[in-house]
Amino acid sequence: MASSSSSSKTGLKKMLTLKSSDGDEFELEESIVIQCQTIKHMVEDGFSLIPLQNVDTKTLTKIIEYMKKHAEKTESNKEEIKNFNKEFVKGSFDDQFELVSAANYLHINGLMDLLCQSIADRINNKSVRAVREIFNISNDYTPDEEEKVRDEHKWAHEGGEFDESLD
Amino acid sequence: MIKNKKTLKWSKSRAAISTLSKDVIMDIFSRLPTKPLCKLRCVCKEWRIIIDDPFFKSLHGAHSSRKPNLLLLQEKEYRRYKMFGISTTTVRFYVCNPSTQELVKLRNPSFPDIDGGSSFGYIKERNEYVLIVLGVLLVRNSPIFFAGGGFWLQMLFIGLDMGTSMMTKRLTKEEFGIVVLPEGRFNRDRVWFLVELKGMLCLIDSPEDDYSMDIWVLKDSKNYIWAKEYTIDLSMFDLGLDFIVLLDHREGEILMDVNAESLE
Repeated sequence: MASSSSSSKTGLKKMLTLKSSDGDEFELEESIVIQCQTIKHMVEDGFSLIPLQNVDTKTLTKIIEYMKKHAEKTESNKEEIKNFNKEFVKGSFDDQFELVSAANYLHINGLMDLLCQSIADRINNKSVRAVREIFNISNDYTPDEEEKVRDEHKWAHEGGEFDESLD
Repeated sequence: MIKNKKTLKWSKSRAAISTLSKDVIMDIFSRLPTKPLCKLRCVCKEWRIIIDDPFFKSLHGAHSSRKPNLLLLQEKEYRRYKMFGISTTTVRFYVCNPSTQELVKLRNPSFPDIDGGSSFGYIKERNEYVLIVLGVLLVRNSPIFFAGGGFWLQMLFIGLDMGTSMMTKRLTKEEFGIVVLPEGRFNRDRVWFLVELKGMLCLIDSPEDDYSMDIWVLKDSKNYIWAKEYTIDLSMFDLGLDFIVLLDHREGEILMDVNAESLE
């Protein structure tokens, strides 16, 4: 949780500090952080301490983990990155939602892609009821209305079992 | 129902969901196939509105066509094409959207005779599906129609607002248009069909023999300027030519269906 001044061995590399909404600070090389378009623009505007009011420490830690890994991306470690991504999207839906919101806010395109795709894949075969639970949505249809909407695409509700699990 | 168990979790997930903005939801939805999307319209009113939104449909369409399941998508389109029912005495067209299993009967076209094939295309700029009907030679011996040395075709334009692979399908308009064929050495009996490629109307004919095929592209639809873009040697296929159907054109390659086998 504590702030990490991890790679301070660097001599010439420009460092930036990201500050989470909980007030924790993370020092990172600029070259890592500019994967994030929002921060890149702030760096271009001359900022070196970047407060991220919408991102808490837990989420920011994960996002930094992602950015660090992806900054190492080369031709030879594609498989490793792929495995990393696979692990990265394994968290609970709630964690994924936090992450995707942060990725959207920070404009990290690769991460957006990864998370949205993984969430889409995970809800693909969920039942309507399970999706409501997962997204914490209360059904605002009356039973009649819902029946009507269902009837418009009856076939979409048929054919095989839908997944009722919430993870 | 199981509220007690949930209270603890709720405060957290509520915070999470409140931050899932509409554009994130749309980004996630745009990666889903049509079937689960249709299903998700039932989740709540807001989601139904998002999914039915034309902007979302175009996003979804863009996403679907970027994916490598491109061919699959085309196959679907092809099946849709195949599902036109045409009978020569009573001309009647049906359009089927296989991804939603909807079937729509089109208004009977008001021309006397359908002679050649028909084709189905998608015009991206207009976001419309177009049905093209070939070979309505209105009155063969009429001097007017022979004036240009070519002959006339009647083209049926049907604007189908189907989204790209999506659900709602409304007939927005049905219009007829007449397209003048390229002048010159057209042998009417050698014309095969009209097809849409890259949003342009193309005419396929085979003037010399059965082993080559020309593709003419209508470059200027107002003045009917045609250009012969390709000549394809078909001798290697050794097939009954009636079975060739042009499916699509992407990145310089033409996708054809020869005897229902896809080739590139």
